[in-house]
Amino acid sequence: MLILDFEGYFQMRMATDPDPTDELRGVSGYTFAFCGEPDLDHKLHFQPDEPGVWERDFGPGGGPKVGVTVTSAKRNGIDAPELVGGKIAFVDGQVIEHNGLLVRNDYFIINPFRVTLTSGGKLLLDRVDNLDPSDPNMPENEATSPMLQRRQATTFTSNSEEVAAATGLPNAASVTLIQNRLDRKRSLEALLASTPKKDAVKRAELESRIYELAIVEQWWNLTQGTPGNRPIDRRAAQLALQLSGWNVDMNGAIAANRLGADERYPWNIAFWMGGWDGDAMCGYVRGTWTIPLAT
Amino acid sequence: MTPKITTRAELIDVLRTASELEHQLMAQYLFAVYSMKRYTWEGLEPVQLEYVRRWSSSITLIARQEMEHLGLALNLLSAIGGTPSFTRPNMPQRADYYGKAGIKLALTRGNLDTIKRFQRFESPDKLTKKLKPEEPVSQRRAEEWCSKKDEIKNRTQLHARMMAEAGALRAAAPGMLTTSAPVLGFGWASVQELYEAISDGFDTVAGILGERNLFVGKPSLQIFGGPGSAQQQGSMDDLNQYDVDLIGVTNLASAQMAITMILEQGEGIKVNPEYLRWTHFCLFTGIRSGMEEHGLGEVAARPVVSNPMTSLYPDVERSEVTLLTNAHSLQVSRIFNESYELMLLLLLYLYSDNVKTQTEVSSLMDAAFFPLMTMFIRPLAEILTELPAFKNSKETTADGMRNAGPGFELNGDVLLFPPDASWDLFQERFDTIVAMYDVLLADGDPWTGLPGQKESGSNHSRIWNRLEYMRSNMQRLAADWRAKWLNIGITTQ
Repeated sequence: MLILDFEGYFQMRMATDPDPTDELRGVSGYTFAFCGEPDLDHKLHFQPDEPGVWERDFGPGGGPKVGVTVTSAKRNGIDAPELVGGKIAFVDGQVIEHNGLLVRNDYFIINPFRVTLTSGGKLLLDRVDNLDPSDPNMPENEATSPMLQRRQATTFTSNSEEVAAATGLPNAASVTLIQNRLDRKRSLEALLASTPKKDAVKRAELESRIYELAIVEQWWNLTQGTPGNRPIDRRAAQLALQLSGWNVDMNGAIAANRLGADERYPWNIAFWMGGWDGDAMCGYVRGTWTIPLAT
Repeated sequence: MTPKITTRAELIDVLRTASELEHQLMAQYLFAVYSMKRYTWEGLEPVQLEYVRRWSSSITLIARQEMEHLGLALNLLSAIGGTPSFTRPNMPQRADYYGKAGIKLALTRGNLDTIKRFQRFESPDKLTKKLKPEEPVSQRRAEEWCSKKDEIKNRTQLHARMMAEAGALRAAAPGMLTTSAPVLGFGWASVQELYEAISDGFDTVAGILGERNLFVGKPSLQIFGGPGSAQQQGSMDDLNQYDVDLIGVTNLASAQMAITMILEQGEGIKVNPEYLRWTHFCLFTGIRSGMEEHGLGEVAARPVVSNPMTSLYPDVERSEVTLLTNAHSLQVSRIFNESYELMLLLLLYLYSDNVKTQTEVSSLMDAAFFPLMTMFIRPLAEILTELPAFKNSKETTADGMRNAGPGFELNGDVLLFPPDASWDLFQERFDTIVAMYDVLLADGDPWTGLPGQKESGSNHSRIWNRLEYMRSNMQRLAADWRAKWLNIGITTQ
């Protein structure tokens, strides 16, 4: 058995509720393609060199850097250090729910679902999973409940300490999450102060991001909560929100197999996603790809 | 003289008017925001587009809160034995349709004049008292209002003051209950005055009838979100998300809370100072400032005709309507109107006293809020403002406008289906809309020649691809309804 543990930041430039799911710039949610930025592509990007990645400046406080890599590899129980650092990708994957038409309450599926491992510029593993193995080209809108459930996450955890530890937060308390957003806001304000007036596009982008981050101090539910006890804004809450339980026995075509995987059996992949930073449009993924070996 | 509300019947009538008014405001705001430019190929520089994007975000926030106000008005109505209504006249209507309030009902693109009109809709009384009908609010006075520091620090103080003022009003005019003018037409000078009258009316009628006798509505008919609601907090069905705050109304205190919230969010009357900048009036004031400062008043929006309609309805003036003549735009517009009416029918059933299980309540919400509003009505409206209004695509109106827009057309009253047939009749509506998409998209792709339509990896225009995405999703929605939502994935952990 080949066991690959992987983790790191991914980027997904997608619109957020209540924008429609094909929104290209962002209007009514809290993620946007700001001025000077390309349209939102709604795709998961695990590697910084993938087309569609747009990494923003974060100022002196820094921010997430895209890159999901193998952190531990074992072949039949023996360390395989040559695979550590290998790059994992969810090629063209989208986090999908179609605003409740396919799945509700944000128990997303990822579709299409194609996973690759690349190392040293070589594609080592590449397999897809099909919602319906008998009809690989079936549109996702035709999926039945059992097909969807195979692909769904199962569990939300708010204020997850596991996420906080993975992303470097001191803890997952709400006050910490709000402070993190305010720290980012301060960092962007410093960046704005050092951005020349002639760079009007950059300045407008930073002003908009600062405005969005300031909303974590605002509250909208006028009848709920008092200062210090208000519902936490999703811009902050999602920093330590974990969506876990994705566990897929990958059933589809294999396009690359340079590690001696047994192609007669499914390749299992299990992972969680979380730590969503809406300002960066990045989140964190951690998982394990378990692949039977032919020998 | 401002009409005084002294009976349940008057209160019900006025709350129906308030519901209709909130509905009308929402439609006008949505029309304006969906006309605003989104892409660099539309002639704006990136920084200008960023300003327009910010304004669009603010207006969609305001529109969502108008939906919330409509929901609150319906809860107030239901709480005292009224029945819900989504009926409203088509637009445009004459400027005195809402009496001296001067609320001109019209669907106009998101330019400076429109923003000034919206700013006046949401204006505190204090700033409109000496203005002529439709005269814009003084921007200097508006900016002063929005930067003021009120001494009120929290809602407890705010409520105490409002109640004290209402009590003082009654004490000063003890004869009002017997000498009040009957409530005929719309007798208030502003939205603020309307809601203040409703607030006073609740106190008055509760005083006459007794609070328990006034609040005879079934608590189960209240549609609200957040803690204590039937919908799981944090789920898609929790209505208290995305900057809205629907509360249930079951007694005088919650009724006054709902009215206060409408006034806080809209006009910013006695609002907590930290919230003032987010009020509708101050948001519109900020947009107006930005448009004037950056010279974007006329170019922020697409050249969308005013009051576009697919046909002439008996409740509108021909001279104020722009009839669409482009065949494909007419088809898209009819799909929009059909989807909009279906959403209203679903909402009417949701708010009605028709017997329904909690599962059926969820089904109605699962169709009406997400996805009908977000995945169909909005994108159809956005697409319409990119399409030609007229058969000859070079034709324009006298003021140079040439694009279509969503007419929010209603062919008469929005009425409940017979209870026993409702679910099947809803299904027919879903299936009809799927068929309308099929017909539209079977007719090739007429939009490839429009600007900004090329998409990498596709032979079709961006508009065609977006409509195809909607068709696929509407097929899914129709199938989900038919399957009673049993074909969606897991929904709870």
